[in-house]
Amino acid sequence: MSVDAISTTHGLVGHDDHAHHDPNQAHQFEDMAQQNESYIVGMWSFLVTEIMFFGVLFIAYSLNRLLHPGSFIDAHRHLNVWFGGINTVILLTSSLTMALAVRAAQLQSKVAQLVFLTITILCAFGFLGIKTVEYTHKYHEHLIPGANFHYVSVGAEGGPSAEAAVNPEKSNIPQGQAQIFFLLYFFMTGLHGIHVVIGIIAMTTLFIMIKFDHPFTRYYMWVEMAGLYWHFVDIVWIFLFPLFYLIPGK
Amino acid sequence: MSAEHAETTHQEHSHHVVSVSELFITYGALMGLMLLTIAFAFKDFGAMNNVIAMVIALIKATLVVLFFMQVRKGSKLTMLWAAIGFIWFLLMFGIMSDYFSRAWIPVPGWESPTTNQK
Repeated sequence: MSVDAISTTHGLVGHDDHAHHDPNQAHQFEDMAQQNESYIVGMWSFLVTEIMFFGVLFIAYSLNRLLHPGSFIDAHRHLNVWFGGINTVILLTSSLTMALAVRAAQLQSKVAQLVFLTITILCAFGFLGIKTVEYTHKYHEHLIPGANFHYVSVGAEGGPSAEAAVNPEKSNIPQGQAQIFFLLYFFMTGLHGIHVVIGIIAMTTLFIMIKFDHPFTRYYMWVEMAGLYWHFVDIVWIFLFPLFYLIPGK
Repeated sequence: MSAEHAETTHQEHSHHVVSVSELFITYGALMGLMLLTIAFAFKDFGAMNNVIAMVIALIKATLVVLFFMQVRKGSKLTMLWAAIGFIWFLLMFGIMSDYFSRAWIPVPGWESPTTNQK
């Protein structure tokens, strides 16, 4: 009752009056602008925790790279720039189609939402497909950290350097340092990959809800939330790509 | 301008509808910057290589935040939240100073190549 009294003294519309409300507006919000801001700031709060989550890994990376620069340069030659580059193109494209899906949701265009969500989901699967190929190569090269880890230095041309191929122990890169590089590589790209999978689940759920005209989808905000998340996943990759695939040095 | 007009006549005024051309220009800029960062990675600028790569990555991330995530048209609170994530990360990066302020304990098998030669 006291809440009603406060609302009345402020000249606000009582919550029993739905006549002039947007049907998407929930009771606790004064207007749609406030409701939209609450959703967006709420999502950003989650993204800030995600930045912290990935942040410590970026700090672990920076620390180890500063300590062992030579080993990081040597180890990164095992990663294929083209696989990383194609995946960057795929993720940037999926971010564009996700932004277009959000626009379609704002305009309440069902067909456009379904089309752009489909392209985004396909891009996400393409990204994971290339990652699977890369991980499989690393497995066959014994570069998964663990008991079977066995690092062989490769020359700048991509083939095994003559000395290292004959006797890997002669390589001037300690196995432990190479293992740190690949531990960080698998942990960070793996965590990013998990986020891509979660994104696929979220977008597929939205696709089904929009397809069958679920009442929730009359409010564009659900697609907007998924969009913010997806763009965050894209940003993480924007940093992972140069840090792992493009380390310069002789 | 007709697109802008359509936006204002759209029934819901509580949110801004992003323009298609803005999204495609952002996409083009992101692609260009990606090609630039790959091209620079094959050239040797010494220590500047890392700086260049990270500056380009920061510009790309900023473009995504401003245009794809539409923080540009967001409320002041949204902008504050987006900035907090970055500032907080920089604060956390200060942890690094702790590692470099103390002597390192060598672990057998994990030495850097330079310490091996001593």
